[in-house]
Amino acid sequence: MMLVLLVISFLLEGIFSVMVPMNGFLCPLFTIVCLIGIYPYFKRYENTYWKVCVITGVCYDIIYMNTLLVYAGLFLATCYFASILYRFFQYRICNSLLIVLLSILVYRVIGFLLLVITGVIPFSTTKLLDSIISSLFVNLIYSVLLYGVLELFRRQKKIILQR
Amino acid sequence: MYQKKKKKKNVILIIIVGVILFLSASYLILRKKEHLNPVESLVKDGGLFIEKIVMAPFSFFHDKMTDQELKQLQEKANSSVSFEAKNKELEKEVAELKKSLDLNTVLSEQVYLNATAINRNMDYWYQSITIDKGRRSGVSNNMPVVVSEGLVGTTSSVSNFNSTVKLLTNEDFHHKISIKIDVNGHYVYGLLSGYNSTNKMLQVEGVAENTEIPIGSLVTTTGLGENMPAGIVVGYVKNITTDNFDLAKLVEVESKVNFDDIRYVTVLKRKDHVS
Repeated sequence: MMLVLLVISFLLEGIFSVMVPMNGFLCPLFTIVCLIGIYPYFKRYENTYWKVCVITGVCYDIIYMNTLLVYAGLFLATCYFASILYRFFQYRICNSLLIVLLSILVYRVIGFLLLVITGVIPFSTTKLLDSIISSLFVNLIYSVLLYGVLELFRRQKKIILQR
Repeated sequence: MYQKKKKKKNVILIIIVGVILFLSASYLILRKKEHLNPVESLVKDGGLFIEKIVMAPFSFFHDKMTDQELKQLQEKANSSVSFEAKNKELEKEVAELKKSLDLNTVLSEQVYLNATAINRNMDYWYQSITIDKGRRSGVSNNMPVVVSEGLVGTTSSVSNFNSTVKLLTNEDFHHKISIKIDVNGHYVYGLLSGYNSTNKMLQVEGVAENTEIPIGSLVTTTGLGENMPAGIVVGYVKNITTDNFDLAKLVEVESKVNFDDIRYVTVLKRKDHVS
């Protein structure tokens, strides 16, 4: 179920990008949001979760970004950050939203710094802020939807999440 | 205690080495990402093929709704791309052809290839789109991509069935494009060197200091280069400043292309490159 959600999010990110204005405030990051959202369900199998992160990152790298291992590393770093946050917060919708918000922030900052250090883009605080703001709205809504679907699944299958 | 300290030191060392390696690898990958190897090409095509299948129902309804609009746009893209500039260009070239009878093709002759955008600007920073035409359709790296309003960008990372289009608004746009500015019937030449995201203008450099350029002059490509045909509209002169040393003019060009909403594009191939 988690992997199906991940694949759907991955494909939806590409499809959604064509439907919204390019530089608007609806910048989709559904893949990373889904990876963060499914972490509590992988808590018992952390190694599997990290493998899923890397594989998703590699696919994202090749299919969407024409790079190799850059986004895999970025996904891994963001998900590791999210996993630390999950230690301090209970699995509830508000906490989940907060974790997604902070993770998007970290994802954008790390990605930005990486591109600045490698000389791909010039340093611009305004652009960094723009990128964060443009990513929040749609991804927070998506994380709420994802939380709903995951909760439904958890209740149906009577899964007890590990704290 | 000593063992614990040593272990901590080792962990820090491993993290530092890891970060350095990751940055170095990223530098190499991000800098040279224009060419895809066969495996990357295969994975990319496979992934985008699945995306296209999933996208089909959305596209079907969208196409039904915008069928008429699409036809008009494609006709427009075929006929009126650089129409204004092309007339002037052809007149001049005909005169030149009379002088050199040996010439087989002229720079402004183009072959059109229509394509659809299948995803756009996947990460906020890159300003690129992916189109559904690749090597199998005759696309290669650095081919110009246009819409009815003018030049949009050039192709890069071409796989068998898809290509990435690096937009002119990309701040990492390293391919300088040779352009000419129409100043009352004669041309002033320069190089399209980048994009200023602050004022959303394309930057042209290398323009001679002693030439007067009126605001609103038409800027088109020269065709001097490997892939770019002549006469593609780039935009109109909006502002003129000088560089830091007061030696050359910096011309700011406004493009009429709406870079936020690019759905259908046309890849141009120079006729002398078509076998």
